[in-house]
Amino acid sequence: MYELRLKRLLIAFYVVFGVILAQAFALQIVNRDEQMARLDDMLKRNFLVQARRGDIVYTDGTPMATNEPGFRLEVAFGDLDDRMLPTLRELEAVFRSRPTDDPGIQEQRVALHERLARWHERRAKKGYGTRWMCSACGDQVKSAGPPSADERCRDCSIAPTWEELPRPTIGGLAALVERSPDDLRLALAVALGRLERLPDHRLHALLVGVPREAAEAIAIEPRSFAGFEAHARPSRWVDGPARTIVGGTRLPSREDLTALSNPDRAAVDRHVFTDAEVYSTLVGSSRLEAMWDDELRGVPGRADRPIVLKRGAEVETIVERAVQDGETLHTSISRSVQELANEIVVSEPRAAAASAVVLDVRTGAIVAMASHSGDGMDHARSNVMPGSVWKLITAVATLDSGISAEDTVVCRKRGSIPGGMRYKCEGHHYDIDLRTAFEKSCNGYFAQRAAQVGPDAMASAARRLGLAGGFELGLGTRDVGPAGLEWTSPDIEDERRRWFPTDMAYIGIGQGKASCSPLQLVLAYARLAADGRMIEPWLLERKRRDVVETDPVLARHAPVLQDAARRVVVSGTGRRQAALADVSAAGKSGTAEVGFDLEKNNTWFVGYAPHHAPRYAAVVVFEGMPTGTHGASEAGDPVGRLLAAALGAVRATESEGPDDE
Amino acid sequence: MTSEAARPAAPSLATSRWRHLVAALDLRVLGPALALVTLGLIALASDRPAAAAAQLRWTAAGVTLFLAVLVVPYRRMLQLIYPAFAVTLVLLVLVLFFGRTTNQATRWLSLGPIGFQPSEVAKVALVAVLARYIRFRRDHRTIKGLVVPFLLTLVPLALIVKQPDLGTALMLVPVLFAMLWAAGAQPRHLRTVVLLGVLSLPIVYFGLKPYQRARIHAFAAPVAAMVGIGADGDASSGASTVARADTYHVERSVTAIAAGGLTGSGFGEGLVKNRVPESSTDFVFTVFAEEWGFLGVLLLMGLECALLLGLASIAREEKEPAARLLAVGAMVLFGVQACVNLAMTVGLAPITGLPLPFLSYGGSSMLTCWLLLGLALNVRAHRPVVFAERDFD
Repeated sequence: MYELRLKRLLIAFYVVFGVILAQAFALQIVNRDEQMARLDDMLKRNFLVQARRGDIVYTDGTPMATNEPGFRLEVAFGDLDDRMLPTLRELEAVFRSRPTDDPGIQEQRVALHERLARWHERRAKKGYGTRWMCSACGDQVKSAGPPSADERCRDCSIAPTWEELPRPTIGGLAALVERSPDDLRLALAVALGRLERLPDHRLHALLVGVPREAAEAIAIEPRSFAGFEAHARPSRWVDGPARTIVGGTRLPSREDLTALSNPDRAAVDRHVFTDAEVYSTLVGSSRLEAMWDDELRGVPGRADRPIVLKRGAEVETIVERAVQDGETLHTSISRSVQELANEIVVSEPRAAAASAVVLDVRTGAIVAMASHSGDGMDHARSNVMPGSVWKLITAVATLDSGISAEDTVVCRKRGSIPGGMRYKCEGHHYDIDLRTAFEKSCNGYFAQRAAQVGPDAMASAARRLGLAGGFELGLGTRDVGPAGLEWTSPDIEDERRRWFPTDMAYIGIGQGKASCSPLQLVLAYARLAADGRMIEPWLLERKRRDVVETDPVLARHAPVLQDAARRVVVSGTGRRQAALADVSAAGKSGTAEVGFDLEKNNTWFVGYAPHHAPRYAAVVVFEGMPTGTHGASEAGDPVGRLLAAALGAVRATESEGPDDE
Repeated sequence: MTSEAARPAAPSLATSRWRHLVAALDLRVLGPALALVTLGLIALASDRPAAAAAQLRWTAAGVTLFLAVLVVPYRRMLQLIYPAFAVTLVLLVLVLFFGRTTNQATRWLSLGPIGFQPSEVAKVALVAVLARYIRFRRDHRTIKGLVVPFLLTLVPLALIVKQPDLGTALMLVPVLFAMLWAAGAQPRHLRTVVLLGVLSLPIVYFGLKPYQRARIHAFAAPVAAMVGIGADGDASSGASTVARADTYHVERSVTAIAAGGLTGSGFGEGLVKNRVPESSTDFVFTVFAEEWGFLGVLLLMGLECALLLGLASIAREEKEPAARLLAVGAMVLFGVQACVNLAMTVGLAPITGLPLPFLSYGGSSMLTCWLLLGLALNVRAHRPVVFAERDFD
């Protein structure tokens, strides 16, 4: 019985061994191909080829926004194999061995030395210590000093000879330097102490100015730098004057991840991103960068590279999906004019906000659009009380209502109109017609005419001049001002916004409930300059709209109003501005009284040039200027300079043309 | 197997001791054991040369221990086994309080310059104490008589579970059953105990630590474990992490074994072994299978079978009950440990953390294997004339 039981026990073991052997046979012989497919997956590194974010460019092709020359590189110090790393001192030696006359580099080296010393000090204080390796089994311990002679290894339980290991983390950067020998910034950036601690206890550093090729090479072959994980991440550069148009970018948030990895994107032919793809890219946060984020971001490429453990073996990168760099956005912005516009808006310290817009009268292209304020808003597209520059709308409404330009009204310095509204004017103009009233910016004339023609006529004129609707510039906001027709609508519950006949005296002179954006106003004068052609502003080439219609009313009355606008510069409020005369401009000044006690002024000037063959229209407004300032004196000269710059730019382009041919 | 009739006549006392010692070096057992050690050293040399060197030193120490154990008659050792077993239990208690914690388990005890796992010693001690207790008794053939052997097993088992080291603890159960069965316990009694054990499994399951449950989940439902459904359905729990890690380990191991094919990739040429965790200890078979292929696996299995066969032969040839039980206990310990480890690496069993005898890297494991082998072969060196006229039955 005993022997039988022993035999059964043995047989039981043999049966189990048989099952295991059968499983091994199935794995190694029968199903080997299937398993080898998994092996292929296991032995290849799948990596992203980061798409280059598209440029946003000026008309001359120079970038308003572009990626920095190179990429950011994120190095995460993971499972560093200390034995493979050079020491920190070696890294220092690498720097010191590179001769340079560049005083900047010399300073950086001094700073590097000091910061490294502080880094060592911090580590010592925190008790990070050095790693020591058991000579018998390779097990490592960390301690400030060498382990005592009788200290045993935890792994092999003997008292071995302890070998000091080089310091981890920074030491391996010497290898990176060797990888990218022409780029000292790479290692300098890290060595200068830009190491940050991530939530999962990894260290990382963002390195600016790494060539794309170097970043990708490191991302593809991390084994060359054992323990490193590297991700290429582009860095965005935006031209200063173009910031209000370009907007900004940021690192992706969790919401971005949710949005970009939503499978519904596939239904609208959008690339559905993976987590890794999202986190290795930049996301547009405002204006063009945000509105055209999908186009600018591009689609990251994906590739596999077999991991070959044998030295010297040749490997071939297998591209799963080719990288698609982001598209380039071509804008209508002229670099030189934009720079000047930006210079103008930041140059007036008394203004709470300032904005400037230049428009191509022939095409509607926005040549420059600058804004400067403390609130971060784009004031070129925000509603502002216009003052006398609004009188163009009143003038059009007057003429459209059948009133002749030669018909006069009586203006007194202070007067009242039917309905009890009162007005004040700069002077006693007595009997005054439209041209003279426009030239001298007579409040009496326009207050009385506005009250005479009523809200509907004023709204109609505003619509003809382009103030009624919004523009789709691609900047993220469709409505850039209150809709003209809306002003008279009885559906508007908020009576502060509705126009009533009793409001018209103030509205007629650009006060009270009158408001518009600088962009709208320059469009109104551009349509006047274009003889009533219904041009629409555009910012991006892909949103360009060709002008096909002409407004018959504007076309009929344009000569009168153009003459009036010209008289403003020749003999009216703008006569003292040499810059306007230099470009043979026509236009209108405006000074709106704002603030609780009307203690501030919005000073405007809007004009176009040359008046006989208009090419560009421009507007400049300084908001919240002190009392006593006037539109013509404050904004007239800047408008003249903008028009001159725009005309100069176009002349330069035209003169270059034949040479190129 | 050698027969009684073929044995030569008894020589003088002085020479007979050495001749008995030499006779104890049974090649049916020593051959496969040394071959397995060699295969283990080759696999380690390919994977971690430094570890192979250390393993060689541990092997030398193990062989020395083996020879030392051979010298002392096993009956003398068994006379001291109760105090020794008590010391082992004390060590198991001490390790809970003063042990070194590694990977969230407190298994190591440092005594002066020596560091060891008392649970490894406990396995050998249990075999010896059971052999001593059962050898001249017949009451284990009654249900009541099973109480003491079970208590002798359950006390160290509970202490080892407390460390926690579930894999080693569960090793003790088959040893107990096999030794009782070999000693003539009634199958129906053992079946009853097994049935009770099965019925208590739900209680045992809920008494497991989350990571231990997760390991069972990972084995039962690797896909669920991969998507993060852990023991408590909490994807962020540590148990889920363990489950994912275990699935990952097994996947890597299975792929590496498959990569070996028929003839293997050759010494040092394995590609996947570097991606298998614990490749020098629990998954040493994986390294071996990748570099030696199915033919190597066949060789290793053959050696394992030969080792068990050799031990079974000793158990069969011996007449003294304690000697038989020692041989049976050693055979079952080696057999179960090898089966569990190999089944784990090929994906047929959950991960338990048991080393492969004679192959896996580790000093405690190697010394225990040689100690156990020494006990098993000791019965041949110090064979009494006749103690039992008939077998257990």
